Amino acid sequence: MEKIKDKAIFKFITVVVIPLLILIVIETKMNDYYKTVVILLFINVILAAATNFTNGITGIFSLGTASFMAIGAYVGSLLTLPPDMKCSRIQGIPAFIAEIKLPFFAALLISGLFAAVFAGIIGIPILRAKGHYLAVITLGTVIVVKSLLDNLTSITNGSRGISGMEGYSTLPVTVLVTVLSLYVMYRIKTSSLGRGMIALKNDEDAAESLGISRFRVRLFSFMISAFFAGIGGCLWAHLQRSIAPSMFYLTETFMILEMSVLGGMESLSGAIPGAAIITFFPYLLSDFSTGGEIFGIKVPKINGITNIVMSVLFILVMIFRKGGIFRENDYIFDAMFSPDTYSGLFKKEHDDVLKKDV
Amino acid sequence: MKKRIVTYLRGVLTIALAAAVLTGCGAANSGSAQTASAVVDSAAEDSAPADSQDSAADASSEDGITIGGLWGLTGFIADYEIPGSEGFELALEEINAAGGIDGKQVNYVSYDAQSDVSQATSLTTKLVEVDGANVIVGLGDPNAAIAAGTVAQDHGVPSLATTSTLPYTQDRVGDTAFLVPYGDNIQAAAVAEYAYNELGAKTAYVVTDTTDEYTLSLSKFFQSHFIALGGEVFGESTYDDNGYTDFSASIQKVKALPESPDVLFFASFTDQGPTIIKQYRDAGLDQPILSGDGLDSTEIAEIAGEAANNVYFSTHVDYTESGDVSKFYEAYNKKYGKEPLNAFAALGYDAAYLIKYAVENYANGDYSSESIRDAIAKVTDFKGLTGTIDYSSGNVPNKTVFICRFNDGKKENLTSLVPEISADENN
Amino acid sequence: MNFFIAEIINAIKLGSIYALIAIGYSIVYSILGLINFAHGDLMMVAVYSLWVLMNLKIPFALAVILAVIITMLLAIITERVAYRPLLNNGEETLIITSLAVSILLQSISQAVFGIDNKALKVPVFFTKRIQIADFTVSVMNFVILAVTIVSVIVLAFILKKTRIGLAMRAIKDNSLAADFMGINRKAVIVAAFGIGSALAALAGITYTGEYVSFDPQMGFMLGIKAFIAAVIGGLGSITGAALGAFVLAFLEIFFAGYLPDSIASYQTVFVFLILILVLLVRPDGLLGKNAKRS
Repeated sequence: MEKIKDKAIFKFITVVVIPLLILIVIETKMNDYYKTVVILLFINVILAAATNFTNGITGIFSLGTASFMAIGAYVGSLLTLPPDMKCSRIQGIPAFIAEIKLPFFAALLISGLFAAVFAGIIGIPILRAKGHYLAVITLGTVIVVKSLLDNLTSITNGSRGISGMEGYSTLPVTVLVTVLSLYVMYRIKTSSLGRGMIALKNDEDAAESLGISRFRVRLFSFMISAFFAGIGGCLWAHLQRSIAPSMFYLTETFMILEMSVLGGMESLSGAIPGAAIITFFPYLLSDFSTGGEIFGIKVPKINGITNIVMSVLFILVMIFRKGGIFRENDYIFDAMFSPDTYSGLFKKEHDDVLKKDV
Repeated sequence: MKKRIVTYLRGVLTIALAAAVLTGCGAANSGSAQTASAVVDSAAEDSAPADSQDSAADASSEDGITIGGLWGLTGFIADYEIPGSEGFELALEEINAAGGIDGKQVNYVSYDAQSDVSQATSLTTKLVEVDGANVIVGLGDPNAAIAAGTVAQDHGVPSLATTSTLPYTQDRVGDTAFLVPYGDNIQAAAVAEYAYNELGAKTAYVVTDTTDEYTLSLSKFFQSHFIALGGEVFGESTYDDNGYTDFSASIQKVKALPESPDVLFFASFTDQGPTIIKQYRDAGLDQPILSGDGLDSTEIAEIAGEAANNVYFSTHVDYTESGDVSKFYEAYNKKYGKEPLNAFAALGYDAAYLIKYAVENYANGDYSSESIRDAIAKVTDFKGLTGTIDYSSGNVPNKTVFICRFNDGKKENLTSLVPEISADENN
Repeated sequence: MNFFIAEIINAIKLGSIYALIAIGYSIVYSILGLINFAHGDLMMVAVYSLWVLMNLKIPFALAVILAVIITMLLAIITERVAYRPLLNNGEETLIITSLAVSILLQSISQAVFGIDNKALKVPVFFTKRIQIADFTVSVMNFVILAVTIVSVIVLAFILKKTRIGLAMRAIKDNSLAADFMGINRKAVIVAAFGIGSALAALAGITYTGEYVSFDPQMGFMLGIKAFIAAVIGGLGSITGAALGAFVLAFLEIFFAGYLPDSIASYQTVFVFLILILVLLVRPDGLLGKNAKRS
């Protein structure tokens, strides 16, 4: 007897129909605020999945996602802002940057490419390092990128930041881009290249003896991760519509790491619960930070309660459930992106049984 | 087998959690002035498919206006925004105790934006969409104020910034963004004039924190006005705030100048203030130090001690004045059990009475956001604690600048002035 | 010339502080293979403890000793609660946990004391300026240097002459053999954390004594810089850590002092470039032997 959870119809309903219905309800019935929070959730899912791609799947422990996100956000914003706005607000902006104005999706793609190229350039020297060295150097990229954004004022407008972007990151756009991004990452993960990545993580020597080039695979994975972090950054910029270097700094770095670790670094699906917790928790806890009432109970004002709760939770997860919520399981995407989920809907029951026997 | 079921349940739970949190979080976040149940009601109203903004506006025209407070109560801007929110809440309490605005009680919902721009934007959306705020106050540092102000602009909701002093706010955000304080161009010019005329300074050296819009624009405007007056700027050194506490390089550069500058201008925030002042003093540089309202904090004098003597800065109010100011000072002391840390408490207080003044005089009982915006724009002669606010020539008021200095650990008010700035300096 | 000498004085001051922190990193690293991201935050803990104790009117000398002890206790507790259960769970786990501990310490002190800067008022004696030729140097400068030198000497003595020092060196040189010899690893780990945190506490106190103001985030960036110093010198080596600290401090100070402002503002970028360069050319640092763990 087939288990209910393996039935195509069940997978289809839980990972496709229900989320889609929820999204349709949100898009049509909810106000901007809830939409903004949900858009933020989807962007966070991309960022967390991109982080999992290197940290959990390839075994490159990188803290640099926020820096790639920053590059994506800046490149994307500079490409979509109207030329006259750029000229009047960013003093000394080179003409060729000021004059470019691209449609959003082109800008989105280019922002991802820029982040990937940047990752490629820095990856060549830094991916030789391992473990803590790599952790600190990638944390260094976050610090360095912020410093560059602060100082290259004629392009980035320094710490003043850039504002005035159009709100292109609507819910349908964000959902579409997120699903596409996740699909690509998932496909790479399940390809032979992806298996190479996992093999490298588990046993480097064995993987190399099988002809997997450690350096190339790691660099590729690093660049892919940066590409999607850049996409996430570009979406983020067109949601917030105002960016400054300080937004892509240590706080953001920790937030991304928290999402990645809580959900489960080794699973792309983990990005969803991880991002959900980190996106919604601050809102649930925000009453503690201003005082007031929550569900009728008086709460005292505790500054920074979110961080305290999150970091304790974080330590507990590390001690008791190192793999996060999903461990290395990828249930959601296995179901969502597998053709069987969709073709299975139209097959008769015994076909499934037959297939299983084979 | 059991494990697989668990895995499956996990997937379903995740989705369910997302849905539950989404629908639940409106109810969980009750503002301090509203009861939890009231917010549930308004959230339920808003999730109705009808145009939520209108329904929120309609509801409030019966109950009086709803003010949304967006304050950076934690994070780097907290030093300015906590006093601001306290001043604002004090005024609101007084207003409601005296019958409210147009005889109707004012609703107030406030959130902590944590000095974080993404929090600021999403909470502004929340204030407008969920809580039905007709006007937003606070808004945080210039970067947050631009981002949050833009969201408010999109919804046609006026915003009153109490901390940001960015002169080109209106240009960046639009016609719904107002400043309660004066802009950086005015305060920097006032400091430059004071230095040039009163302190007799002809030469200056500038040190700028490059990590915020505020310090950058303050530094720029000081230099341009000081030069316009006939002074000379010997040079500028910059630092970024990323854990930077050693100013020896810039000190050595000043010492290496062929002639010591008459004054030093520090464009910095409170947190670096004491450190930089002390290091310059320790190095034997005793000339007057000038700065903007970012250094307005009694803490600086406490931390830097004697080194803070001869430090001059601009501020928004003279707390030693009699009349309304002293009444405010006492009321604040009574409510919070402490003295206002800086002038931002008075700016917050002014913001509340400014809304009352604008709505009662110009809104004609129409409490829609649009009407309140127009009402605020019509204000030409609002007399607050921090001077007279006149929006007839733009959304950044041209107010009196108070010049203070630290003396033996205390803030000392010296004078007040309105600087004259030529138009081309403002760019 | 005056400028040059003034810069050297500054570099020595900064280098001494980096050295105290970097040595602490190195000791913990050589025993546990753990880069404790929360190490820098221990400085902050020490400074806040001292500030509270001084507000309670406890005499300065006693308050300093108590603050160092509090910091040591806290470090040992975090080791027991957060790190020990994870010792065999791989490197990333420890990195992530130590980051979490770092955020936790910062958020707690922010919740308790607020985000704003506070001032540490050390007795007047320390802030006195001494005029030597053209230079004014504060007493604190000498104190910082002296604390660093004395700490290094005491540490060398502990490592060379005491039983626990011998055990530490044994674990560092050959962990497996040390286990066979029946060395109490837990005790050694506790000792390593104790010593490392005491040094961090002293660094925090002297640093704040010199720069006066402090806030909950003060330790993080200093911690990262000190880590870079330790890597430059050679992780796991105490002389290496000290050397790396001075190299980094000299480079930083002279970079900021001698280059035009437009370039000098890239100081942070420069520091990380040095780190990458060192890792490429000499992955084990200037004085490092082959790293024990690989």
